Amino acid sequence: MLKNKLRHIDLRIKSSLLLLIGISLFPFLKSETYIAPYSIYLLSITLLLALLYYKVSSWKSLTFVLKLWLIGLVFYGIFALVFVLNNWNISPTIELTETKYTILYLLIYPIRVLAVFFSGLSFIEIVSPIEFLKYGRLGHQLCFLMRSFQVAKEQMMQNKKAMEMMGELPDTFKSFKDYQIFVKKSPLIIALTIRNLMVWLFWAAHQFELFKKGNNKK
Amino acid sequence: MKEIAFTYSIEDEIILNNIQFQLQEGTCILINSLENSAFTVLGAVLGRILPAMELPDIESLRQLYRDYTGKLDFTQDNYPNSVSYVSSDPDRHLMFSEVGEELSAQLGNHPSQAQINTILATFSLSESYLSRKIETLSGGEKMKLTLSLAFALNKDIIVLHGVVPWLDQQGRNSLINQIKHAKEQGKIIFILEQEFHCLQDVIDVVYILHEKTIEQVYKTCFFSEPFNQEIHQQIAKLNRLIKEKRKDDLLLNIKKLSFAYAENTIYQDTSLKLYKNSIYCLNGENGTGKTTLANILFKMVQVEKNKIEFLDKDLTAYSRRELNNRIAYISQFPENQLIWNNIGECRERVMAGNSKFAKSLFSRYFQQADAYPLIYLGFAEMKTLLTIMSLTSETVFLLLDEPTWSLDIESLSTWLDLITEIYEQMNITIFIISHAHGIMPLLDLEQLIISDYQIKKHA
Repeated sequence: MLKNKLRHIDLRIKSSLLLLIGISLFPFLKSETYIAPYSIYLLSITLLLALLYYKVSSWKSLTFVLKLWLIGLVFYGIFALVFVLNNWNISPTIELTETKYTILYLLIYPIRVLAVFFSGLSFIEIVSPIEFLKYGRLGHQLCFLMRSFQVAKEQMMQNKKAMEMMGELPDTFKSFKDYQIFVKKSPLIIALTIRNLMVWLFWAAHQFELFKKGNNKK
Repeated sequence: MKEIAFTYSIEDEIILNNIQFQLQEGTCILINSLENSAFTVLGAVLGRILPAMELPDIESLRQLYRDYTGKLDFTQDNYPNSVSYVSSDPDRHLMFSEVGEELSAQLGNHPSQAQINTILATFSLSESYLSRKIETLSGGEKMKLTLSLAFALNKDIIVLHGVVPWLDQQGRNSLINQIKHAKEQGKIIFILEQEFHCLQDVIDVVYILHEKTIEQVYKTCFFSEPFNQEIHQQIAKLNRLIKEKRKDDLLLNIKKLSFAYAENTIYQDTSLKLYKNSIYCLNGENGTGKTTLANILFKMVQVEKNKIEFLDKDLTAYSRRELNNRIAYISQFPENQLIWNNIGECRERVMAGNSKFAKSLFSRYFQQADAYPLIYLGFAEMKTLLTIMSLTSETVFLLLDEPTWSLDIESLSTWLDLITEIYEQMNITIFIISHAHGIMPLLDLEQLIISDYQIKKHA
């Protein structure tokens, strides 16, 4: 299993790879001629990261991330359209002379966000909080952060399921209305996750503090 | 024998006043109370979790955590620092991704495989759990893991607050064995619990927390009459109603249904008939598929056509909306279903609905101001709110997952009142998923049990 193999790789190697991917997603583009080749690279690496996320997670998780991303894309698209229609230069470093470059440049942002999603989520799937423990105080904090993220993810799935059962969220996407409802209710899933996480956070933070103290004594 | 005495106050308001315990090695102390913030604080103080020292400087968080930032004054401080504390939410105590990691990290000092297996076995968890991800465990399994860790840590004091409802019969037996073993080793065990009946044999001393103070009561008296006169009257009323109602029309007909999650068989050719105006109680061990039945009824998982008839129509022919109008489901964990922010939003929704009965119930049970945040509601209030909100004029089936879970005597009385009124006023079938302890055996319900992938009538 790919996931198991990746999990056994040293944390430093996994973190370095994540860093490298991160850097490659945010290059400095000197002129508009670099936009097209960079877009091809970005698209390829995003597809690879999507495949990786599918392999280390599940088809259901992949489609869920894609749905959330698509919702963001709809809102972003409205803003982007205003920029394109007004022919505004949106880059602080490159002079965009043609509309096709403006469109391409604007497309880079959401695809980059998707790549960040997939790389981050894949990293979380193949790294366990326990791996951070040997890195002192910062390691403990990262460990707690990661556990919080896992609990938030679990909470989000539970909230989503509860909302589906209550008929507040569609579980299939057969019509435009289903997508509309999903878009409308998605911020609520996030808000509920944060609310439930807040209740958990206090107790878990204390428990973690106790664990850290005990660990230091050992 | 050691004596401890302490007071806990928040901004000059005393929450716990002169709480005194005689600590004798090898004793198990039960503390019972109404579920309120003082009870939560007492458990956490005994567990050496409170008071909290540092809090983030965010107003809403300070408000939420206000009770935890008090001042603790020991007038007699003989309380050991070596304490294991388990709260009612096992997720608060599990810090890593996998069971194996959790055990090795929390136990420390590189425990051997044999040691780890022995610890897991204390709560009947097999070696196969070691590679399981924590997020894939059921609530009961998480609690068993947390408890096995708490007992293995070899602390002088073990504090268990609201752990019993999570456990099936096997888990409860394991807990009793562990308490006996810990007592033999001279440890002191505090149990803060509503579902205490199964622990009678291991409990030595009983205390009751009345508002701010604690009082010792006779164990024999306490266990001989766990429910008060009012509860008994309510039970009698509900039992009378159950007898009176006509129950010959079929509501749900499950015909030789088989279902599995991947390779994990849940049901094998199981059949079940539920009748209108009846009350059922389904029980079974953790992971046997009690909640799966709700998932099937709401089409959260796919089943074959013509295997389930609901109101004389194939279940697969219903839309989710149609099902929601006819079936009210209250899950074990209400916080996931409470998708509103405050009482006002809930009120607006109920008032816009088509059930006059739900409107009248809401007006009586929830008189808080519109701005009252739902996060401040107690567990029992959340369940009451959801029950009322899920009723429509078409509701014929009320599905309650662990409704009496961790309810104190007052909340239990409120729940009985609510259920009795719903049953009396509506043509409704009530289906309770429960471990069937505490109050359930006293009700004249149709008892069902899941075992060997079958749902059977329980004698």
